Amino acid sequence: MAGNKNASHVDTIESLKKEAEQLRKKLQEDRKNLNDAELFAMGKKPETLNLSFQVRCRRILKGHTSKVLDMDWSLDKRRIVSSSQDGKILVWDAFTTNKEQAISLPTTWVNACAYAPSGGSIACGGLDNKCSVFPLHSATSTSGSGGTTSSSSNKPAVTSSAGQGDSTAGTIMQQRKVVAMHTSYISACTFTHSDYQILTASGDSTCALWDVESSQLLQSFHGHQSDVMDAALSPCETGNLFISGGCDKTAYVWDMRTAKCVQSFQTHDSDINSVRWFPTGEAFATGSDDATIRMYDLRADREIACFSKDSVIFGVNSIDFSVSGRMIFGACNDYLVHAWDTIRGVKLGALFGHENRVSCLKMSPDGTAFCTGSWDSTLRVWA
Amino acid sequence: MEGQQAPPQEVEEDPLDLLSPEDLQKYVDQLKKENLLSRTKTSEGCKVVMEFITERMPEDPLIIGIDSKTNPFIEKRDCVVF
Repeated sequence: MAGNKNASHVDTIESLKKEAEQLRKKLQEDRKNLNDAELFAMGKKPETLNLSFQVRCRRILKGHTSKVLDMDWSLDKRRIVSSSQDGKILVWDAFTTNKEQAISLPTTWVNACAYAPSGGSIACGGLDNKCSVFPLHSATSTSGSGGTTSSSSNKPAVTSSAGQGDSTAGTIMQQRKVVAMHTSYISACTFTHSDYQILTASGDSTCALWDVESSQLLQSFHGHQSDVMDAALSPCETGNLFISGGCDKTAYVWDMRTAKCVQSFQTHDSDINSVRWFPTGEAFATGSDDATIRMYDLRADREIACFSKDSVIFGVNSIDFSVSGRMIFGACNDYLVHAWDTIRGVKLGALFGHENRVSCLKMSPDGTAFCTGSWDSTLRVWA
Repeated sequence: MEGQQAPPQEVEEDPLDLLSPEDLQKYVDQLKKENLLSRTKTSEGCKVVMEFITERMPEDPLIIGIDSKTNPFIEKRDCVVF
């Protein structure tokens, strides 16, 4: 009878929920039993060098007409790509603050952008639910073939004559390649270790790996129970792992080959907006709307540090480590960039400058500077 | 006092209630898998983090300080005034 069927259905759910609770408790216990040290306690030893915090704003990049939502460094350590609510992608020379290329997309809210490893193209996506790849004009040539000439050179780029940097609407849209299609907005995109694959994170609660050449879906990663806000590939050259974080307050570690979730961490009290690997590839950090940054160790399988301060009460939108990992920076909704000492847990300072929420933050490839983007429509380079 | 009542009890929504039975089973399977993971002590993980940081700090541009010779973002000091 229908009544009995419903009853057993409810029983199954109840017993599954109980089992989940028991397993979660056991997981917590096991992790706790191996927790024999505190990172900050280890860092307080007298041998640890005291840090003096002398970071200042060195460049202001003006050009967007609305909120800057994302940015990425080129591996040449001087070029930056940024994306904005104004629907534009801008490519900058951060040394000179010159704009090298502008791409106008048909949709606004370009939430994510990424530089290809070769420097020859960029990927971007947002409310259009798609991730597209555009070739970049090299600064020294006037052809639109998107070569890879200037990416590895450290010589100052010869800025081409005015107008060459802007791509006319017709030609650049013809060169656009739609690589990824999700069923909700793109929140993050990144090339893998080559120009040929892209990893995307989406509001549709999945991450996905795509082949750029064929626009084919290679792997789909299901597990998040809400929007995924960020994803990051392991820094290890032979790494097959990536991390993701989302509105379900959970950070997942995934194996790209099997599409399986390897580990999960749920200690934040609110949405995770940003995930970044610690340079060893054996730990990572997350920034959240709960105003904290937390660090997790993969082999210990637990949270090993929580960076917070009573005075920091606004959400953290984006984070990154300095190149040695000694400092961790958080871009916040209080218009500031906050910096912490990773191993002591003390707050080093706050950087003023932006006039609205700081939405994105990324360290340059060689750690000489980091860049931030803000709802005040500017980007700033700090060193 | 008259009129004072205890605030209404907030019923906390269990996020597990939002999952379908299939998703719930997947979640339980995932938890079982994670319980089987072999873990190292936190001290070992932290030690690796500390060692890496200590080793790399001398080359971290944001830590060792600013110098216009080594950091392209720092302006050179010499100006020529006509």
